[in-house]
Amino acid sequence: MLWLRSKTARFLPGRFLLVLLSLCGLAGTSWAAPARVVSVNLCTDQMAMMIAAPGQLRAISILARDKRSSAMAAAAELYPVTSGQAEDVFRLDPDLVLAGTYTTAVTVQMLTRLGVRVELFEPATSFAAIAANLRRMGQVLGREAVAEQLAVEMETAVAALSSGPSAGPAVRAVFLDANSYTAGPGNLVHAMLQTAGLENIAASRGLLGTARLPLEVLLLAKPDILITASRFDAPSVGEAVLDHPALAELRHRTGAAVIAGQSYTCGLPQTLAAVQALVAAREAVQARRLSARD
Amino acid sequence: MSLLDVQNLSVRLGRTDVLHSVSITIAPGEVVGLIGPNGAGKTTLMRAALGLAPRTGGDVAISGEALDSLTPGERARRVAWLPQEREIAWPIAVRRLVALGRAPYRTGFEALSAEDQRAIMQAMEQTGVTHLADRPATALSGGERARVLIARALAQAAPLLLADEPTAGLDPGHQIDLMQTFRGMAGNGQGVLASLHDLGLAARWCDRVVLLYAGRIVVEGAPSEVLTPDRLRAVYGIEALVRTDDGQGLTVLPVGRSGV
Amino acid sequence: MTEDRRFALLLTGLSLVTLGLFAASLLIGPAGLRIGESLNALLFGGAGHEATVLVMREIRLPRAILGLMVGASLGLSGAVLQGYLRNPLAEPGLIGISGSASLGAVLAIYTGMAAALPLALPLMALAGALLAVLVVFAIAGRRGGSLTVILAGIAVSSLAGALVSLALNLSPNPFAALEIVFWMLGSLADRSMQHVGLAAPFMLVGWLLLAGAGRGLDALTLGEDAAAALGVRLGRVRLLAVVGTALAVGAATAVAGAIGFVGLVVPHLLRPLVGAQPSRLLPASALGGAALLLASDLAVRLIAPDRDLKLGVVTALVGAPFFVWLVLKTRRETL
Repeated sequence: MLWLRSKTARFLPGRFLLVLLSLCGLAGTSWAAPARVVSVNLCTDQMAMMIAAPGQLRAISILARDKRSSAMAAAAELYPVTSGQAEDVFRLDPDLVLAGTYTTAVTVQMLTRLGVRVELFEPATSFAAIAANLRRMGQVLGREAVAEQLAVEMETAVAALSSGPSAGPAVRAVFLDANSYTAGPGNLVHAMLQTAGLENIAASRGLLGTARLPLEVLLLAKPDILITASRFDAPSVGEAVLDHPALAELRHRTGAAVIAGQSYTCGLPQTLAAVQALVAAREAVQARRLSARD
Repeated sequence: MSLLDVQNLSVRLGRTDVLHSVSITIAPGEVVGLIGPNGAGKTTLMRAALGLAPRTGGDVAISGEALDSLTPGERARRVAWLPQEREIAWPIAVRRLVALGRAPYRTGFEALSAEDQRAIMQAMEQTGVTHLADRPATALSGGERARVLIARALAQAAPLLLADEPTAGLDPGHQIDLMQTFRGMAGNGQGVLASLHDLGLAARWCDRVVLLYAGRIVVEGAPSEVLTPDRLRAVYGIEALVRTDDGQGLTVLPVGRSGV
Repeated sequence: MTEDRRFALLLTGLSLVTLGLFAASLLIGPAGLRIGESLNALLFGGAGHEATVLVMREIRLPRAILGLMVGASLGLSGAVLQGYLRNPLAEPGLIGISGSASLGAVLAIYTGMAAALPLALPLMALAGALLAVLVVFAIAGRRGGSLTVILAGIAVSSLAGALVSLALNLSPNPFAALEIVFWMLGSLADRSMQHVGLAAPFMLVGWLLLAGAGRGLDALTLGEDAAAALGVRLGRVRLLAVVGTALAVGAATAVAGAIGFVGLVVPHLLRPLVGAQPSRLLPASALGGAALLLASDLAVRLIAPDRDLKLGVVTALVGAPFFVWLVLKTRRETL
């Protein structure tokens, strides 16, 4: 007990000093562009790589190099990576840490307490949200012009897709991920389906966000297009559902599309590329309908 | 032809020599008492004679055939074994437990034959457990349990019975019943080798007594030859009253520790 | 004999219950198909109803078959283990056999071995199960007391559980780490006929071996010495129990994960109904295990249809309190 008290007593003044210093630091950096930025979230990693000035982004998370999850895996090889744990990040002496709202709260709290400025980004579930995230990233990095250009390009492309005339009855699609999970409103994949002019079966069944869609319900819903997630290199039991013989039968009879995990794990301009593939799948179904009618 | 013929049997368990060149035979119609202090090797002798404990030397023949040439089934039809541990793992009905004695005669899952049924009934009558037939065997008193297990061994209807302390835990009446059952079996030409701690029972009911001490047979013969006060003092360290004069045959009654 | 008639009646009753649950397993599902429509699609197929036929034949049928077979395997091996060890607490899950089988299956799947050679999955699970049975039997010894068996089981299952977690956490696939739950608690969701084909032959052979141990188990009621003297070849009974359990539990775990308590609860509930005779307990426990697992799987589907509730959750909710009660009862009896 005595030992504990003396130890605390020695430690306290040091910590007080640290907090004081960090308060001054915070006041100073909020106006100027940060020079030592560390990102600890897959989505902020990729936005930052697109928008940051050379040398501004000092480290990203290790997930950014994973081909299945990251649309910029190759670019990520050029950056140092961190484990994302507070100790690792703090050692890099960042003046700004970029994190997702789902990043471990404990890590973010720890960094904040240590006086590091942390900016949190919500995962985007719509193209409007992607554009907003890009613009905000531009602001916090002091690179508004670059961000604005990316956002506008994407918005233009989305508008072009949405304005296309939809011919005939709706094309009904369903997305299936590992463990029989699907995507409803509130999930970025739903926004992708909508933008591609597809009717999302999960949405018409009232499912929200990420929800389970039992295989038999999926089969009986008779989708026109079955969209499945791309696979990781290493196997898992959860993804085995994508190989279920019943689905093989379904794919045989309907349209099928695979969307890469990297395109929807984070909302990015790259997400739009996957939408183009979905549009192509929809047009194929519509063409088949036309030829069947003739 | 003897029912059991053990020649120069030696058994070593771990690093201990438990039996040194022991020879013993049981003829049809004989009840033989195996006596000796705790740790003398009585149980090991019987288990080795059944092939349940490994022999390090010697030969065993059962009903004239070498033990090693018998299949387990053949052996079980020639000799029944009543171990000292009265293990009954599950609350099965007494009738079913006694019926286990018929296992050597049955194949697969066939039903009990009429002969099986008769042997079971007879064994239960002999040990006085017929009235317990439908009770779970685990719910019985110690003595009742012992009698049920004896009935199981009797139901096996083998020419030879080896019993390890069969009278332990029985009241005097049932002890006498059991010894009379053994005599009845002997009358039918069967043979019994029973280890006994009650010297009075051994003296009164056995044709022959084998005294085992420290893994060796000290002496064997008629009870009156073996059970002498001097020998009991030497082997068990006890003083005993040994009388033959009351018209009841030989009586042996331990009365105290010998003051050495 | 009335006792034989009662036994026949019990087996008939259990068969009917199992059959009923099997049918319910085929007819109840999130898709809410009509009974006539389902049966028609299952039995006769039918043009214009391809989706219904797929649902019945490729989704519900394999799930029901696996529920039946996995449950029977667990019930049967529980009864055999208890009979062999003469210990009412012996159970594939509690003594670590299921956990070790999980480890084998995990190694087969996540190293990619099973993708290259599908048979590697049941074979590796079988090897894991075999190792666990041998270890537990060796530690428990010839006359394993309840405590020894359970402690040996805890050691084996904790180690297997830790290694399963390690293997899954090391996998570069983020889904793998989430699948610790599946391997620890088991599930029949989204199983296919491929799983049936992989596991069923092993389970069937396992059942035959386990059934072959029945007579020997009866004699073992009297202890090893008395059983041996009754002509029982103890080595053979042990081999049948070990290999039969490894085959049945290994294959069941390979496709359904580790499901606990079935092998504990079922034999114990049925023991009084078969007059406690170990050989009679075997067919009864196989049927009872099948019924319990089918019922649990139905509960999983009915309680939380959109939640992917694990089977082991339901069996543990039933089994764990039962286990505590059984431990108390055993303690009272041995004191």
